[in-house]
Amino acid sequence: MRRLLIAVVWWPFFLGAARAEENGKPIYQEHCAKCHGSRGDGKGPVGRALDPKPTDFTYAKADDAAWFKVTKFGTKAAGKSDGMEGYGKLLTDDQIRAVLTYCKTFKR
Amino acid sequence: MAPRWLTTISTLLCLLVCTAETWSMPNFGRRENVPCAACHTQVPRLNRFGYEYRRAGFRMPENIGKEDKPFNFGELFAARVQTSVDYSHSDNNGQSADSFGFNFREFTMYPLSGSWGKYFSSLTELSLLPEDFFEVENAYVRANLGKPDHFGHLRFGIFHPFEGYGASDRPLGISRPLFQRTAANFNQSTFFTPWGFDQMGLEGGYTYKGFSASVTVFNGTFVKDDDGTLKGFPAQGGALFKTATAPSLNYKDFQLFLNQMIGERAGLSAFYYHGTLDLAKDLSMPLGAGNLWRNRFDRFSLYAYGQVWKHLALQAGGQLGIDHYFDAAEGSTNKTFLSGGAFGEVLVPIIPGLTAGARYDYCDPASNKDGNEIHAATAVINWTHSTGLQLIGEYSFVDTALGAGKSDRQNHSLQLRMIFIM
Repeated sequence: MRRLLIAVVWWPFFLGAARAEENGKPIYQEHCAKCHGSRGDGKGPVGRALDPKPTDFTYAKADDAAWFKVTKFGTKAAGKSDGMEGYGKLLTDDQIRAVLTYCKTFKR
Repeated sequence: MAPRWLTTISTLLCLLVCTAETWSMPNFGRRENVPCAACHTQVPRLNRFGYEYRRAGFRMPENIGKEDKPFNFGELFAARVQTSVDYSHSDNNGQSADSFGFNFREFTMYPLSGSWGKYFSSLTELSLLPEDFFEVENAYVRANLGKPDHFGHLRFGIFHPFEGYGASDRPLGISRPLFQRTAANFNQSTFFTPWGFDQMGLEGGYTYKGFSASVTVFNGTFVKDDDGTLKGFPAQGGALFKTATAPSLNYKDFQLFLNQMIGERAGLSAFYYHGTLDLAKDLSMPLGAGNLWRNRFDRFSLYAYGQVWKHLALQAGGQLGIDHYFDAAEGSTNKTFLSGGAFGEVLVPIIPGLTAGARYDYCDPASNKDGNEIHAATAVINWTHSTGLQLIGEYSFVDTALGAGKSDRQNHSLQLRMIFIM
């Protein structure tokens, strides 16, 4: 009974996370894969020409706040080099969170 | 009335401020939401991805055949303004001359430039210049078909002669290598130069991984009297077309361009051009049906480019030309002469967006004629900002031999060019 209660309470959160990951995938493929690679390894066709290289999500340590800031405002706003433009005008905050949730699935 | 230099500076500053919010990327950067460095080593020179992006019709190669994004004006339109501050000093046979001035160079619009639909793209480059009211540098439609790592294209319209990677169709600075802009000349100028004529043509090309080939048929070029001076023009159509009595009227020019990428940062290019251009038999007479003969000419060029280190890239090229000339004594047009040239260039990327370079040039407009060689040394600094503002400073020294018994003509020039593109 207790386990059933826990499942009922936490089920929407797990379902929400799964949906975020699912919603994030097409956004990632359209906007992010060109630099970060379709497998999140930083080896997209555009990314290979950039210096510094795009983040490799397969081993990078997840940092929700920093990643959100960079994705929304760009690398320069996060105090890094002017390598990536922010997507705050193209994506909503929810879409950004969804794509970052998807990015975490690349981690080995 | 405000001085022209003040107007120029204030206009540029206004554009910079007004467009800073949009990051002022050219239309392709806006479309893909990527920085300049995604496609350029140093604007306007392309890196490997930029070269492939252009050949794929201004789209990611994997997007060939995929539904395009909804129409967005900002992704299909760009504009550029160029001004400069120029200083020149020349010594010609003991006489020297100096000039200094501020110049409006050109205003260029790029309407309908980008990909549209699944397979098509276009590029239009229309320039307004002080001396020529309107110039069409590019106006073409391209169709692409194939897979991301092997695709073909057809291109029709007016376009630059090649899109070379090893060749690089853009210099770091302002001036191009001498052999690209100097006509062969034995007993008269042959007018044709590999770069500088934006011809009307039909091109087919194929790109397979790192290799690309293009075959082009052009309308050709022609010479006409322009305010008392003979000048060469591309036969684009309309008023820019060969006359009905021109010996080369129905002859087309042919071009082959090959490019091989070597890794991500190097490439080799080979260029062959065969053309015909009508020249005057007697320069003291007007151009006309009885005074024209058809020069058949060929140009062979090889180029190599490679970034050997993060802060060092090298480029070199050479060209051999074969032209016919009119022998008035024999009335013959079957004799030929050779021309040639070469250059070596060092490019030093200092920080992202800032590159310095130096080039040495040699050009011989007619190798079987003494005392006409040209040597040049050029130094460049190129700075590009993400807002679209670009500053190019170039110093050039050109030494032109004027024949036996005459001192060489020497010219020093210093130019600061200001470019804004959005």
